[in-house]
Amino acid sequence: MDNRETSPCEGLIEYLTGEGLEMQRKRFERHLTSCSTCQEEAILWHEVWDRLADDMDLRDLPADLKDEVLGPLIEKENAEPKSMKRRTASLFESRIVRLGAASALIIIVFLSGWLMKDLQIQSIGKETSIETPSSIETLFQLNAERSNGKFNDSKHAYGVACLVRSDDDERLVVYVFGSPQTRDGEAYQVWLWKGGKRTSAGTFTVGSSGIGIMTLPLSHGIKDIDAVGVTLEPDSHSTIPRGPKMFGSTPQSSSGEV
Amino acid sequence: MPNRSDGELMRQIREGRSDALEQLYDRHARLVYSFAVRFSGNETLSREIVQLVYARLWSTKAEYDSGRGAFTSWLLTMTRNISIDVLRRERRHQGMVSIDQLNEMQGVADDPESIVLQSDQRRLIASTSRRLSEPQQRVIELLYWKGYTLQEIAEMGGEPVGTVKSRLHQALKTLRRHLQGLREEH
Repeated sequence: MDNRETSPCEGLIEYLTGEGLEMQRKRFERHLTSCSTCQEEAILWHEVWDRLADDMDLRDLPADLKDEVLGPLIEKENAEPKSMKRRTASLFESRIVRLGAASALIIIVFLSGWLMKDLQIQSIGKETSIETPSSIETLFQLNAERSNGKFNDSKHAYGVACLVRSDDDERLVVYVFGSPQTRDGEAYQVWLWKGGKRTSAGTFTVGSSGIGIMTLPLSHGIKDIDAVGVTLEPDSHSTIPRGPKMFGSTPQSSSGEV
Repeated sequence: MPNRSDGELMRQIREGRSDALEQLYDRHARLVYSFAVRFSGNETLSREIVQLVYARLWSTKAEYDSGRGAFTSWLLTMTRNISIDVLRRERRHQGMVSIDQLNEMQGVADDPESIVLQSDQRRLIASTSRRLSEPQQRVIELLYWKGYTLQEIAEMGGEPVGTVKSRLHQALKTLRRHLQGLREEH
């Protein structure tokens, strides 16, 4: 009997082309460890697959492309010790330690369900060994977008966007908690709406704690924001939202949709 | 300055060394750009793809393990994945295209002045590809170079996905056989 349709080896091509659901991929990976036929096929496949890229003509690079590609990356690095992604990836560095510590205290306030504004100030006041922000103003409460089914295991997912001011600095701090962990290069992306126009404010990742944070210096000129949204993107390079909306600002303060 | 390996440059990039990123650009950007042009057939999108690839290299998310293969293979895999994302985004704006439209889109206009080099390897795989039947060439083109899924290719051609998989399998077997034969000849 031809049982090809039911053979686990049938999943080889989908696996090699990176298709299929995560569950199917994991199932096939388990099969691959014990199937010498699929192992041989996979090796041979890669031999040919990697060579397919040879079927192209080498082209001259446009003269201005180098500046266009490297300029923003290196400029950002020079302007700030870490780029946005690096800043979020290495939260406990530099000035972010101070803001992160302050923000973590705010999260505790939310989790405790206490009166938010008063206790934010009290909590921050305890951080005398770090730079104390002169004020924290909550701009938006961010509600989890439960209709996307991503928060079924998290009843208390929540977020907030704050304006954190210190003597010589003003930053937008967006944080979320109770949110699904990012995997395989995924990134949460913050979108700001102003005057009907959407701009990306940056990305952050969420670990197993379910907590994510992103800070944005307001020297970037983003003030008087109408609304804030957070999406879960397949990577950190989206120029428009590609993934599901995860958080949105409360209706009374928003005028745009992400 | 000693010639740093690609792996060494990647380690230095993780330390925030922008000179290492620049050297990787000088070394490989032409390959990435050429791949992007072949993949997208569009100058603007190709520039965006190069930008995204180097932004990824500069981020902490790109981790190259020299024990798992050549750097250029790893780089081209990343370039292809990013190219797929970019093209899928574009397709969402434009809607699905038909097979006929895709046939018209194959490749970009030839510009002899911009084609500087064709290595023996490139000629080899190109000549080998021509040994495939037209449907086999098309499935490779749609899957590898246009980033369509097997399911999408099946839907475009109005045939079962199993047929597409079988055709792909045969195409790769043919390519492998010819490449092995050519290796033995040399």
